[in-house]
Amino acid sequence: MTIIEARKKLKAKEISAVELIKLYLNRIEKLDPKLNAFLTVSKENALESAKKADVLISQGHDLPLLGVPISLKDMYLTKNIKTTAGSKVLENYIPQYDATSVERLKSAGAIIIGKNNQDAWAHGSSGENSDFGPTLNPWDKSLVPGGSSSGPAVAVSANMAIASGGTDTGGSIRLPASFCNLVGLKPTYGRVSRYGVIAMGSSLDSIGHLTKTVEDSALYLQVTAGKDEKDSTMPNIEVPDYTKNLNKNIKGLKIGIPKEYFIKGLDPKVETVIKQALKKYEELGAKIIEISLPHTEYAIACYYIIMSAEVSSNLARYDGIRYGNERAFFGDEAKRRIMLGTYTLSKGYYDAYYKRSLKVRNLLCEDFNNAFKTVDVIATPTSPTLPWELGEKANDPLSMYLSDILTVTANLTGIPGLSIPAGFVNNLPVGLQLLGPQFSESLLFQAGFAFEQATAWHLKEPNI
Amino acid sequence: MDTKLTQEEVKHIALLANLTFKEEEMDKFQTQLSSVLDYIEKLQKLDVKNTRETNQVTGLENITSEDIPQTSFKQEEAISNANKQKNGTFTVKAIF
Repeated sequence: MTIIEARKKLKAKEISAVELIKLYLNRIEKLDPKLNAFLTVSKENALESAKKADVLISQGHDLPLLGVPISLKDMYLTKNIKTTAGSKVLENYIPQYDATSVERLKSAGAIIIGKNNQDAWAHGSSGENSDFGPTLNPWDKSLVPGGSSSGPAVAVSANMAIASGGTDTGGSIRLPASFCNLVGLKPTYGRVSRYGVIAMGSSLDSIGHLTKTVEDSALYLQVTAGKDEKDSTMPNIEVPDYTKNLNKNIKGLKIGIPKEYFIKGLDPKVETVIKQALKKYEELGAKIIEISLPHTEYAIACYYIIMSAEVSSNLARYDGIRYGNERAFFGDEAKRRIMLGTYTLSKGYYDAYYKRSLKVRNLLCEDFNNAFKTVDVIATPTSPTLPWELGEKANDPLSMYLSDILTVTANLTGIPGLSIPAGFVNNLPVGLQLLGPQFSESLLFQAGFAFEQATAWHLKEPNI
Repeated sequence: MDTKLTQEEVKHIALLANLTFKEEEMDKFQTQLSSVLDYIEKLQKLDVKNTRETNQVTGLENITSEDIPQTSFKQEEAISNANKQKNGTFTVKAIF
């Protein structure tokens, strides 16, 4: 079920909100022991909220998410509902307030059904760095679902939630969307408030979401986007009507294909799916233009320095005094990143590493600014590979880092990225990534919607 | 490898980062961190002499809010997550 379908059924009184929530709670009870996508299930709260939603529905209220079960990555502070960031440091932390995004979702009538598992502190690309066990991919339970928004992706893919909130600092929404056959949006930096979402890299974090369809994604962004007085990093850009012109014709849309993204490590079967998707775009009237993003090969190195530096600063607050357990409770990956950040910011190394990275960041921004002079959007594979086996990269952190190679540039440059279902290899999903200039989400939705309506990839469901 | 970290350096970084490591873990972290630093060396190849730094991508500067006192948390709420509390306050190790 999509948000649109659920709202239709609820409005037509085909199902009550309480019945709908019970349906999803039952699915969580049945499936989640095998998948581990949820750290907290808010059974009583969700049923209470559903009862209130039914009253509002009977009174004719038509809020965009009224009665819809939504789950949230455990990075979002939810008042009175345990929030852990996937880490033992916060295993007993109960926030005293809601994140702005959570407030907005609730005001739109959404029912928070639970908090999702994730790589601890959002440090990871597979879900395997959770302190509470990995989340499994419903398409093949021996494989990773992608991370760090592993739980949010699996919740939606396995129909345990209709939509989920994630965070994307280096690809953490887009990669699991690709591995689980979902639409994953990383909005422009500053489009959605970061207030109340546990900070990873404050100049990189983007608050986004995972849905089954592009229309659902647009609807969800309509609720969460827009200026928040509590987040001072949000440019004063008006929020357009994202759902209005979704079916705009994309004839003449110029799609740039960066040659540097079709790298040596790209799985040839994944490349075939992507090339077929681009052919489909040509059939729809788009123009495919080869472009160059010359500094691509430096993006991962640049990202890991800036991100680790910001992580080492952001995680300094976890001293066990005001909240949480002491720092000995940090897992290995958190320690690695804190150490890397501390080192690259320390005396004698600051210029060579951190300052230099800020300059490389500038070069990457220039690459994209130049590209968008000649094309409207950029299309790439979301991931160079198919989902890998659980444990395969456990002893090789660097190999794990390289899986972000196609997604980190959007975080360094602040541009939006949308991953959409583009096909399958051996029954495993492959995502196509669309990138656009800052605040061009409407265009990405149009491009995504056109492709979605011309294909049926997004309708396929995992066999669980 | 010049960039491989020594154990002394790892211990120094751990001190700066307020992290503790067991002796058995030292080797593993030393190796893993060193391999990441080796990879990062590739940034040295670029000529960035005349490139400006990009600290943030919004271009915003000096965003402030009105200095209006507002209700925040009640005391019990504020300390509700502290492991060590005394008389409604946070407690820390003695400094003196």
